[in-house]
Amino acid sequence: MSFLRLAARSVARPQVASAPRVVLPRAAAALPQSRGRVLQYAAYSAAAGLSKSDITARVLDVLKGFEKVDPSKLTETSRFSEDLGLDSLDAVEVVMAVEEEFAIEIPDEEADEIKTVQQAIEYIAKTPEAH
Amino acid sequence: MSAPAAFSSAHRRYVQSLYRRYLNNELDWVMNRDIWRGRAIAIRAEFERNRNVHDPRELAAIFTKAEADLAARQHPDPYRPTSAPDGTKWERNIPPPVEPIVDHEAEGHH
Repeated sequence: MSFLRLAARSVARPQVASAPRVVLPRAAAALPQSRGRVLQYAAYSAAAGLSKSDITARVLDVLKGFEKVDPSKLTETSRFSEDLGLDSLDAVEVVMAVEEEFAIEIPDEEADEIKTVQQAIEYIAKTPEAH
Repeated sequence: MSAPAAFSSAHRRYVQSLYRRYLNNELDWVMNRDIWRGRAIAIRAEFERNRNVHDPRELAAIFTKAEADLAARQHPDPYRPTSAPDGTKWERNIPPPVEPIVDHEAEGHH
């Protein structure tokens, strides 16, 4: 019994001990590098992390989720009321869905100004908190 | 009978704002969007019921009633976005000034 246990321990130990030795330095080495890179970007005031194409795709996905929106008519340049046939209350719902998607809060006056897909994309692009 | 005149843009904005306030208030009470969606549909139905009201007096009465209703169900501690003024992250970790620090008092000419 004890011999078996000993043997099992001697087999198991090196694995347990060596695994973190391999993993930890890697994680530790990766962290400061990426953090330094992020800081560098922040200090030189690069644009926010979201690319324009990402924003466009996500805004269009949000709109596709609406029952009233015809996906075939949906483009980057479509206007909510004229092209997509949404009324003013639907526009409010679209803006709230975009808020949810990007985890931001759009003030009342600025939300009123968003009447096209393009305007929504531009608003997200100039909002640093959006992610 | 002639078609009623279209609503003014001021009216549309007000109704939009009212609708948004209603929806955001419900979001303060329930975070879960699945539950919130049901409530949002109820609110939308309430708005749709008065869609064809054009008489200004009737509209004024409806708005007064709606505002009172909204005030009655207002959340006491509404959600604030973290980085908005009043939020928990407002003005936290402000970047330090980039210009060189000059000690004007030590320079002596003031």
